[in-house]
Amino acid sequence: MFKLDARILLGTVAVWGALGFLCRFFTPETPLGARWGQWAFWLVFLLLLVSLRPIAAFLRGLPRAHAVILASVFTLLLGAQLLDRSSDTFPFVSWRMFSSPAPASVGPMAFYECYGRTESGDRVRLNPPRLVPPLKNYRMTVGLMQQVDGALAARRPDSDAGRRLSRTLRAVGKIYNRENPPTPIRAVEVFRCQMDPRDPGTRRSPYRWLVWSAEISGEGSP
Amino acid sequence: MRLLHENAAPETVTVVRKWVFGLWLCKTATEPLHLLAELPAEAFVALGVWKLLPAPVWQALHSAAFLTTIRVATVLCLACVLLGRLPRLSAVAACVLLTFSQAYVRSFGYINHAELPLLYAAYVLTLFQIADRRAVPEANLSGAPLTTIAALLLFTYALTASFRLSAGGLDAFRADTLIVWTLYDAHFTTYYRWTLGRDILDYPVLVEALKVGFPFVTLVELMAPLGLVSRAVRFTFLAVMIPFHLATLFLMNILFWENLALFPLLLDLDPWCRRFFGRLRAERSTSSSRAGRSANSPGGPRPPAGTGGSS
Repeated sequence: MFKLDARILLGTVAVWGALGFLCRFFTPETPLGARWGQWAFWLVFLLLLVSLRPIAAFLRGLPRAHAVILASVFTLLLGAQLLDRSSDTFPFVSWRMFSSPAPASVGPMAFYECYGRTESGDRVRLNPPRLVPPLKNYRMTVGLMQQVDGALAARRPDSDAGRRLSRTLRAVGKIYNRENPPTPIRAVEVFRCQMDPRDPGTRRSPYRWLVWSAEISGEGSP
Repeated sequence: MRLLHENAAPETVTVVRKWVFGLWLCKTATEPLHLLAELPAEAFVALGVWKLLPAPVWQALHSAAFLTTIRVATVLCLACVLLGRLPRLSAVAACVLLTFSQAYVRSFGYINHAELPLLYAAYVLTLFQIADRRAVPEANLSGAPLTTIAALLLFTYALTASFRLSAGGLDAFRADTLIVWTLYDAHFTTYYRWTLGRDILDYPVLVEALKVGFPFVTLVELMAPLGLVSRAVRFTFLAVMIPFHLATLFLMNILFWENLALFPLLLDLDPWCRRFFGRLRAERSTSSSRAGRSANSPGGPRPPAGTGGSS
């Protein structure tokens, strides 16, 4: 079942050790547990994997060029995880999902919704990720949420964050109008919604209040 | 114990190459990348190697004309790969262009994972194709890219699980963690519009299934790389992760269809591909021998009058 090859084992330890050493300097903000816990786990796991007979035989049989490709790709993949600086190491990134701290138990929660206001004052619900499909998979959802949070924190519509949010909302509104010529909207509004999922009443109709509005042909305001 | 794709035939690699680059072609051709130019340029922050570009250059790239050019060039390169025209050059160009567009769409606030394993698959197929020119001819290497892609895919799951365990520890599995995530994700405005997750508290069975299932899913993710040598681990992985991906779609509006599209690589495709190509070759040789016989027979096709033929 196992086949120990000193060259492969030493190579794995050397590369993984070097990556661990580099992380000390480049990712001081990553929690120590996350960094060293992963480092130790992957050292053991990688040594186990490369000691398995079929994998060891595969690695030994690879020509030099193929071995270099394999080593490079996996060093980049694992190194990016350990470095945890996805914006620098893209397209190799830190893989995390359902790992950031969530509230301990179900309770009141808040989120944003986007609406378009028509000439007659009616409101239509907007779905920005549907209007800009390349930003699906939460790219638009999270990006817009960050912009709203940033603009509200700045508290002024003429702040950089406020101007950026208004321009984004205006762009979303223009795309909507192009796709829906019969029902054009005049402004895009952001509502903060609050509800308690344990209470069926607020779950069906959350409390909503307007936090930002951007006229499609003008300036935005909180 | 046998390594996945150990003895894969070159035809199997060809099928996978067409599948991976074909998926990218469909995705690139149907996604209106130019729409990003309508959003404010300052909302986009350069990622990876694109950070090396001076800020004014990065801002200047933010135009519908440039993004349309990138999209058209990518489609052309991918089509060349699929048609076998300048295969190495077009594959390298396609990978560079795909990396740019994938970096660009992630420059707007959030670096997610969805398409990355499919991008890595394109890199691996391209790099091995270039390296194959220098390889020893008698070495049986054709399975190496497929093994590498399968390994990368499985490693991404194990990395996710290892981060969850090392960063969150047992806190990540507190009773309500996944329920809270489900409620948030189901209420956000997202591309997919399933609302089942909003009412999850009305389904106690579903709540319990999520609570119990989350540590189990994490364990399966963590052990995923062992699937390279174990059929049982591979099949357990598929049996758990396919329903998990569907559950995240219906409950949280999160879909990694690109990962699901790569799951067939965790099966031993080789016998099927060999059988299919064997049958194709047999049919071709039968039809060509039939054509040869009919051309030699007295009643066979003759050249039109005045176009030659022996007198």
